Amino acid sequence: MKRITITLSIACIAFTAGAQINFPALYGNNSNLAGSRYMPAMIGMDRAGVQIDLVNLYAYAGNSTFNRSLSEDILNNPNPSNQTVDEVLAKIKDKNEAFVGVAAQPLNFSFKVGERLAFGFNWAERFETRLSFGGEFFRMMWQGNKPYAGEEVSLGPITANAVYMREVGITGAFKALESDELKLWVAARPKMMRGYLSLYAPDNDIRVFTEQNGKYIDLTFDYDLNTAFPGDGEDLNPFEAAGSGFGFDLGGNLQIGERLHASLNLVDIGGLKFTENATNFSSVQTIRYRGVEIDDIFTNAVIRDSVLFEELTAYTETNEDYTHPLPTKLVLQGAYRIPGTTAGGNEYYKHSFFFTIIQGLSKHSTFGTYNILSAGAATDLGGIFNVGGNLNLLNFNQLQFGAFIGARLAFIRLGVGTSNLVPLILPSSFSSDVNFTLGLSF
Amino acid sequence: MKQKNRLALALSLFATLALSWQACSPLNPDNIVWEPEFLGPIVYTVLDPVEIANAAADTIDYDSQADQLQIPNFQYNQSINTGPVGPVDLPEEFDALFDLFNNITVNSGKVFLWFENTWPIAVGAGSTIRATDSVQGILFEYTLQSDVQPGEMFETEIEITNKTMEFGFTIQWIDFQSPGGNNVTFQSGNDLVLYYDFELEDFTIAIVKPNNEYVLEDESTFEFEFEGDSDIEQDVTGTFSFFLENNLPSGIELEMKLLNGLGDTLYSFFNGQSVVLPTPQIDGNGYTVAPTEVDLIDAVDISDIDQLQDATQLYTRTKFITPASSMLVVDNDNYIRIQLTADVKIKAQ
Repeated sequence: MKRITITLSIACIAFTAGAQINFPALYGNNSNLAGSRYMPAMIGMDRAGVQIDLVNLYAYAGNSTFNRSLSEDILNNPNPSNQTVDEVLAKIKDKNEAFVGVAAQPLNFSFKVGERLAFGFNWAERFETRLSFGGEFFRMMWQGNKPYAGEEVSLGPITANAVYMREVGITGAFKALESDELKLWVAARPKMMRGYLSLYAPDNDIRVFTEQNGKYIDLTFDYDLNTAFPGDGEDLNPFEAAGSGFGFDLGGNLQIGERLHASLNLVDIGGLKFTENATNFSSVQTIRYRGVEIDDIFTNAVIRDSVLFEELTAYTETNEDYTHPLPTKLVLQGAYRIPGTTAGGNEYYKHSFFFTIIQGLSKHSTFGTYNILSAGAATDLGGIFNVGGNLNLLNFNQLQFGAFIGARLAFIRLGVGTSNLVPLILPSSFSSDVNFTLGLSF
Repeated sequence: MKQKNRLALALSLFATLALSWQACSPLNPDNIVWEPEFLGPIVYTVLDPVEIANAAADTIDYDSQADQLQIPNFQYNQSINTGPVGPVDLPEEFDALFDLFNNITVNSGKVFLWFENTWPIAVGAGSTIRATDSVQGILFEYTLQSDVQPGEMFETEIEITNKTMEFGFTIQWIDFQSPGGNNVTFQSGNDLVLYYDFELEDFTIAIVKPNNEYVLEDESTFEFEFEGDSDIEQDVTGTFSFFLENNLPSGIELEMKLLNGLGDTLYSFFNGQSVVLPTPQIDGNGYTVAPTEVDLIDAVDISDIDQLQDATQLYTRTKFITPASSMLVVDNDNYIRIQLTADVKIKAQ
């Protein structure tokens, strides 16, 4: 029986540094279409013949350093002191990262053709950023450089990755294998992308060496900054793309018997090549600062500070095309799902248990090489309400706990989900995310 | 300009994202005392041979006596009528343009010549000014193209290129000529003073006089101000250190003072004494092997120079003491370097 479902997922806060993964979409009974971003073959596995997400919004922000506890300490301290600053500096790591991103899907639909084929179309507006910064920079700003005399100090990493793109993909899913014990759906999603903004500084560093007695300071610059903006660089035009690209999502879902499921996926393969208004700034040099030169000391002493400024700001500028990589990820999932039948005779999963491994594969992308181990569980009440949660371990050191609830009311799907509720319970979490989906299904 | 704007936009994005965190902070700066310690060089100056040579080359004048013009019936303070004068060679005069070098091979330089005709007769076209060095090599020669009338100023600039100059110099008028005049009176002691100034731009090599002492004494005016302007209440404590390098084939005694606009001493560096920079090792060809270094760590307490902002002039007295070597050579690699380094703690609130 065909049903129409609208899904509404309400934003929740999830505090997971760098985990731009919408786990409710992966674990919810009613979110196959949204989850297909990570597991493309999911479009063929819903009982609905047609799924339409009218709105699917996912946004996240996080960092690896300032957790809720520290942030509250700072915000609630009416009389911060040097000790407060010292405590904050002590918490700043050698490498810190911050993430902000939005993935909005104005239109996302799929439909089945027979029992073995399914097709999908998705349009996504994606804005993703990832910044990395070193802790020594802040400590040196607070303490000065004298405590570092005689040693070389890296102020990096200083990396920046920001991209805004429009993605249009077409998914084809095929039931490649069907027997009493095995069902295998495989899927591929080629996608075209248009890039509207890019800031790509993948691996930069500034190192400082202060001679023991202060005779000189060596500044070593090693940076590569690429930018591309719409328009001609002065009159920004948000409708004019600065680059384009081609990507792939690949995946396969295997069902073994009635209850065992496995999924292997490789998503966001590819990148955007920015060709319009691309500018590359780079500098690899060591400048030995020995003071500002005073010239003509015998006659009319003149400060030659402009020479120093020119040295410090010297960089190579080119207009070469460059490629901004997509955040390629490997998504592995195993699931144990107990099927059931609704009073109306529709099949659904009464209880589900998931274990998911996500591994970032592109070091300089917005996801980097983060990994997430996630365990999830969901239960369904009569094929109408679906509730569940997830327990994640990010990079083997940050714990996350999320929850979601969804409803499938006739042709309407409703859902609330979050990847992490830890910040509401524990003060040791770092980030947040938001998910909103509105859809129909037949 | 367009590219700069893009960079500015990119950096602005960096800054916006980075500072957004700070913008959320309610930190009250009144309760936080920032006390960073900074160690590093502040200013330095490098005295190279060109600068030393130009500082040493003061303007030199050549007095031409009116009674040497060989005008018949010439007498001071008496009106006479005189016909055309000359050509006549006025006696040469010796000048030591530099006293540090025996000779210098100039790639490029300039001689500035000027005089005011203080005589009651014109200095005629065709009159020639000639400068020779100590081996009679002609440094420059300039012939006036037109008359310079009484009371008129004359000035010219002469390029010197690819010439080895032996010191010192002699200068003289040769073929001095004048159309003469009627009822002219030469006042007693009325001399015509010819000034010339040599500006070295580039050189290849210079031979230094051995076993010699030479002193440069200068007062230079700053073309900058020490005064700062900050709304932040701050206190700076610490010391300054001097790091000096001598890579000239000469010992150096250096004295430095800060003066106010009236020439009064506000602060004497090196405890009012001269700091001695030993002569570097000299190789067999007369070149320095490596610079000598003098480190004066924590030489000046910052509290001792509170009057620094009133200083407008720097007095330097540089004494060169050349060793008794058969050959002493300087080229563009030789220098004296003076560096001021700060070791300070800033307390800002």
